Amino acid sequence: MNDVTLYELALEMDAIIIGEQFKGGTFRPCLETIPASTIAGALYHHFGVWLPAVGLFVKNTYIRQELTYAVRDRRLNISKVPITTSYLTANTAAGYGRIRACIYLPRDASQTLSADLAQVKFHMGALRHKGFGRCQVVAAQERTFAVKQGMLNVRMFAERLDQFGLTILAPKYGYLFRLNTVPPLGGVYHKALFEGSLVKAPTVLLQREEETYYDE
Amino acid sequence: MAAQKFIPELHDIGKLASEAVGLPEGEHTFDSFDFALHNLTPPASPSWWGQFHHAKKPRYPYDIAKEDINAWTFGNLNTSNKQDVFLLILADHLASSTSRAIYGEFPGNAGQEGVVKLWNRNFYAAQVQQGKQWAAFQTPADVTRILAEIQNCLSSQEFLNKYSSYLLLTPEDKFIPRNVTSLFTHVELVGKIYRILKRTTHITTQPDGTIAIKPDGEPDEKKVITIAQAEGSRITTEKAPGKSSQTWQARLVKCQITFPHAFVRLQDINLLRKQIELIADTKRQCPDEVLFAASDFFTLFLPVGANLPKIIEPFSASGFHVKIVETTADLGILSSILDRKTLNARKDQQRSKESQQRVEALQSRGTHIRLKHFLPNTPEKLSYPLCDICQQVEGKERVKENIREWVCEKCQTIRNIGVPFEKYAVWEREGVNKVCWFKLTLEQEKLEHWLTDYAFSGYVLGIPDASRYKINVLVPLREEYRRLQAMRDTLDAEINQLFEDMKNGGDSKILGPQKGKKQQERKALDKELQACQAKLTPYEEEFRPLALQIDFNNDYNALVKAFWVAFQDTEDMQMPLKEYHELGVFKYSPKLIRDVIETYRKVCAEFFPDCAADDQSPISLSLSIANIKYPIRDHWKYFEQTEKSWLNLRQHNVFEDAYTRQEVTTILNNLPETLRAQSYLHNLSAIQEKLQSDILLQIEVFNNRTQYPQPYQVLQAGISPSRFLNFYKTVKGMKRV
Repeated sequence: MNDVTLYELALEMDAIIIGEQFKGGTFRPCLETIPASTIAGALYHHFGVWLPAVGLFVKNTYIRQELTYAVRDRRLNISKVPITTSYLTANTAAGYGRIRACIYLPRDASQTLSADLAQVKFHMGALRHKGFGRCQVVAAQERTFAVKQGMLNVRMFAERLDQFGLTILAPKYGYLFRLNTVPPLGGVYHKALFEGSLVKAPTVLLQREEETYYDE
Repeated sequence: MAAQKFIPELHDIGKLASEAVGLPEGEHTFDSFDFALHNLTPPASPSWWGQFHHAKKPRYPYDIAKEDINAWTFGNLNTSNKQDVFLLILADHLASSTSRAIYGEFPGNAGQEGVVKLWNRNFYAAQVQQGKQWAAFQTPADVTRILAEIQNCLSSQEFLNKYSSYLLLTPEDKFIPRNVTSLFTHVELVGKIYRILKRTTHITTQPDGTIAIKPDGEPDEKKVITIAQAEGSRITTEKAPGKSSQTWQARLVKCQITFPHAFVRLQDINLLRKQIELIADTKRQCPDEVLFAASDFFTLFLPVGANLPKIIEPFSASGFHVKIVETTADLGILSSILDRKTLNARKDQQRSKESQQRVEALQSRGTHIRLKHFLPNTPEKLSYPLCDICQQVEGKERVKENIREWVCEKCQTIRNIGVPFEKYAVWEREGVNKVCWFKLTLEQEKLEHWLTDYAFSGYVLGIPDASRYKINVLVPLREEYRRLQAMRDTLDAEINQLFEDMKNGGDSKILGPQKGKKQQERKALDKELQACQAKLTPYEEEFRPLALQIDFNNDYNALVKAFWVAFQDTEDMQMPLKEYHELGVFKYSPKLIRDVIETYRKVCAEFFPDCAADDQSPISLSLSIANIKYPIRDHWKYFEQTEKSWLNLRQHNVFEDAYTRQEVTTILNNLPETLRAQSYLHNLSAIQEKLQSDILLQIEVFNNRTQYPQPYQVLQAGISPSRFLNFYKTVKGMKRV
């Protein structure tokens, strides 16, 4: 069985919003996973380099709550329609003071920056000015994982799969947003592989450690 | 008059006849009936030949399942009739609830009458009390009626409709433990599978003038002249002998429907209506291929060459995701749990020789288990913004009530169907503060798991008066198992007695070694029990739950109907979508939520008293209480979570808990009614909210156990005070502190 070495960053944060598209103009749901677009965008913002990455939150370290705030139109000095956003915060009832997450980068892609990645602090997600999304890397190391068949537990761009040692068997597609790297400002949605896809991947990216055994 | 068709469902009509009708004991077919003695003549319809589906030695010179079809010599059987009987036998084998490979022999069913529902063991007895009974034919004179039915019946539906009340009470096989499926479901499945095989096979004439049967579009080596050739071995652990290219294969396809849509406005739940419509359309267009269907799931039986994407296409075209688990296997071993068996064997093959053998056997027979997702068309790139609802296509800007949204055409069409029920807006205008959305759910995967791993195994081991199992060994396994169990119970009692004697001051120098010796005997006995269990396991291994799953689904539909009947006069409760009965909403009040929970308990006790009622339960009720303006989307997200128990309760921003039926019963029996006790609970609730400590609550309950015994009784039953208080606050309407 093939093994794949990935660079693992252990993150901690107090609260975070990885938002979906606004619904009905008034509600922003929050994801419980870290899509490739989000973490790649956060690292690009901090380091100026596009790094392929995927992430997931550690189970039981977070709970979901809601915040309602009114966006201010500073020009007219009035409040707009209040917006409710869902966010993740630490599950203190279970004994976790901070949310924990893990980010995985291909070893080759992280070589140039691995020294900078340890102990780094960066922002990720929405409402940074309100204190959300302040992430700190608490540990960074290379780890080797076996490649097994299973259900994917992360969201990643379809063209980046081989960098993570991933093979698609039965895909479930969705879309992730990618900002343009050159002007004009903007971006497009690219086809991405979503959770629940049947793949061959490093075990850490699968929903369960146990392998599935479907015919390929 | 059109030529009569062969009606496969009639093949087991004899099972509706009681012993008084005069069929030989243990028989249910009329192929050997003495017509001359009774001055009767056999029917002349094609369906008559279905009575020969069990022809075997010694009554006949051959076993029909093994004999060359060209040598079938009963009456004036023509080629077309032969094909009908041939395909009927294949269908009968595929539809049975236990593999015919392990057809045991029993001296009788010890008075066991009627179908045994593993989730409602008392079902038949309750029907008898209402004056019903299984036998449609009860006197010798009824033979004429049976023969007339075989002669004159023009369609499958005619037979099923006419005798449904009897078919539903009669087991597929009256011998234990195969009496767990209704004959209705069995013959219905036989009919469907037969018709698919009939449409997709044809008779070929060999150069020597004999006939063979071959699936359409398959190579010549698939021509067969015996049932055994078509099926291959019926044991999953037997390898194919040499080349098995002759064996016919088919597919069982399990289809789970989901959608990525997020409900933004209330009208968006019309998507569920669309889901129901699509399933109904699929059933109409493929009535035989769809073996059964639920609100979000269906199972297909398909020949290998059938166009599965064409059947699924309407779903993906409408934005749904369909997850498919497709099992392709020889007809002799194809069953609805072959996928689980195969995947489990592959997982265990490194550790278990039996699993390794099974994997090798299944592989040699070309067994495949494939998982696929059928999705809507997904282009490589899409422009911002995506549709707010489905997030699968680009959205079109729409403004309503100063709210800007992006909604694609398909989702807008769903929305344009209209507000599902007007009452919700009326409730908002009336100033209703809180509502409770609820959903009844039946999870098919959990159902399969419960039927296979718990229900049937428990039934096999608990059978009274069973005699022999003719599997691989001719030993009275069941009696042996009971004997060993009795020995173990005796040993346990002796060991406990020795413990007590030693505690009470007995001489440990004497009693100690005695206890040690008994414990050694106990260990050896455990090994014997395990070995006996292992011998029984093959029997359980060949269980096929598909027919039971269908019966269970039918009873679940009856449960849902009964649930709503209980609230038909309750104006404060509504079914938002008339087509989708599992979803409801009501104005939250402590009384109404308590009524809902009590009604749920009652209907479960009526229809599924012997079914699991904890986190293994296939059936669950989820209740989500929130402000009336809280979006339906998040209620639905709660309903879709995978880890459910029998009852799931959530109050937005307050708590989320799950309860077993036993826990609900314990709590409801201990809900204090006195004002003083309620005041005490109010104080407990204050402690809960302020200190968030379950340990402190437990201490408080323990310290007050004399004065307030009910919370302590609940604690002793293993229910933590916070869970009890959450439930109590919900059904009593206690306000937050």
